[in-house]
Amino acid sequence: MKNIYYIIAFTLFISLLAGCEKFESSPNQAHDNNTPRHINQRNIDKLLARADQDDTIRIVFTGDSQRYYDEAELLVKKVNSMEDVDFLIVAGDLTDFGLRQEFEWINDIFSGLTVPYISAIGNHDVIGNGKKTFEYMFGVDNFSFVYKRTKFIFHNTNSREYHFKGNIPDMNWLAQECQPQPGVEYIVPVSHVPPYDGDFDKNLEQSYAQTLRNTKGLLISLHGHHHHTNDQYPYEDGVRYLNSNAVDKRVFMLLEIYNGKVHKTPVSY
Amino acid sequence: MKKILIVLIIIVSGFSVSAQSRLLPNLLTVQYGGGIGWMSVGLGYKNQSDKLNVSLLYGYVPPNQGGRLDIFTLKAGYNPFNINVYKGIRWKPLNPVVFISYTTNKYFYTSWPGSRYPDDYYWWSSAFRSHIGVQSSIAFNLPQKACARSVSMYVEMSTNDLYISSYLSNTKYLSLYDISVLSAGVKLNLR
Repeated sequence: MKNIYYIIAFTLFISLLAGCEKFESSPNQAHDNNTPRHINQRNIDKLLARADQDDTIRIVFTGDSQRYYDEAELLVKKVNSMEDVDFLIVAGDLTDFGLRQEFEWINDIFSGLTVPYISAIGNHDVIGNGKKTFEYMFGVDNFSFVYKRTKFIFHNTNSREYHFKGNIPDMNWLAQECQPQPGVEYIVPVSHVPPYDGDFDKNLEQSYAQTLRNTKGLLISLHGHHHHTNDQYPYEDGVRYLNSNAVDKRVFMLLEIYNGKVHKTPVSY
Repeated sequence: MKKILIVLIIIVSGFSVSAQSRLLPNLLTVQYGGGIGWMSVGLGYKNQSDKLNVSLLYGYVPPNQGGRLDIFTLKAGYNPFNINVYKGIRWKPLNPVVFISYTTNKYFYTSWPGSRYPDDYYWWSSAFRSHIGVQSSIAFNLPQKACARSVSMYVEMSTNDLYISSYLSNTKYLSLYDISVLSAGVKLNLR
């Protein structure tokens, strides 16, 4: 009889050792008891608390980290070896399947950065319960902050996931955010799907491009989704649109913003 | 909600079949975790030799665990070893299991709506997951008078297709432990 108790005790012990979070309810659950929260806001707070007197903004610009964990680790290592980087932008698609576990894995990797990272929501991040997980872990999908007199406007442009109903991107919100305000000299919108993509709401494309065209101090519009760098003026209206490489390309763009100019340098890892 | 009702009706009608009927399920399972619900309950069948079993389970994920989710799972198991450890106590150390789960809730698709996506826009189904795992269980015989022949307790380690796919392209960052999911459960072997 003694043997049985040993076996039961052993199995229970192993289970406890493994920790409760291994008892997953479902790959589709939006969060569990250990899911981290408010990641974007905590990173924005960290960025704004930086005691940096120099007026150049240095951004590591990447996107589409979806299921590229091994490469993401190399990226983190590279960024940590660089000096004077202010923060890192992920242009959406943190995940491939929109699963909680994927969001937690990639956050585990990017949490190893010595600089804050801030992420837009991508179409893959919306799938299933993904939108709920993104909101639970990272916060709202439309948000902005001002750093060194430059306003970064992160927003959801994944129109296809919302049946092209005309509500994504939220044009009213965007127009409001692009209004001139004291303390803001330049504006940088950041979103996943660029307006010239088939996954962007065709009915909103022109008004979106127009909003950016009419925005005072607009420097560059940052996007992901295409997995390779594309630096262009698609509407020939003076508005520059830049797509990021996906993380597996092992090259990110270092963007240096100084005096109303954006300088782009590819960095391999 | 409708789908849940239909399955409940099937389960209840299963019970109402006469005791002599071979249609009556002879396995009742209650499980915690394991990727098919925070808690799940199911009825199933096992063969005479107790080597093979198959069950249909309903799993629930409450809002405080990132739900609500309602999940139906078809699960099959094989018990190759059956070790008598003591009088009336048997240990089945290593039992492979395979199961398919179906998440019924809004925003989970069996096939992606054609009105919204071009063909093959996403390659997987968000509603269906296939899982593979291994169980270890201890069964205790119950007295003649009891409504069940035996009760067994098990722990299970499993993973699913999307986690395997994540692991295969990231063998440096991810380990097999990272993609494993645990569950613990109780099975009643009904008369």
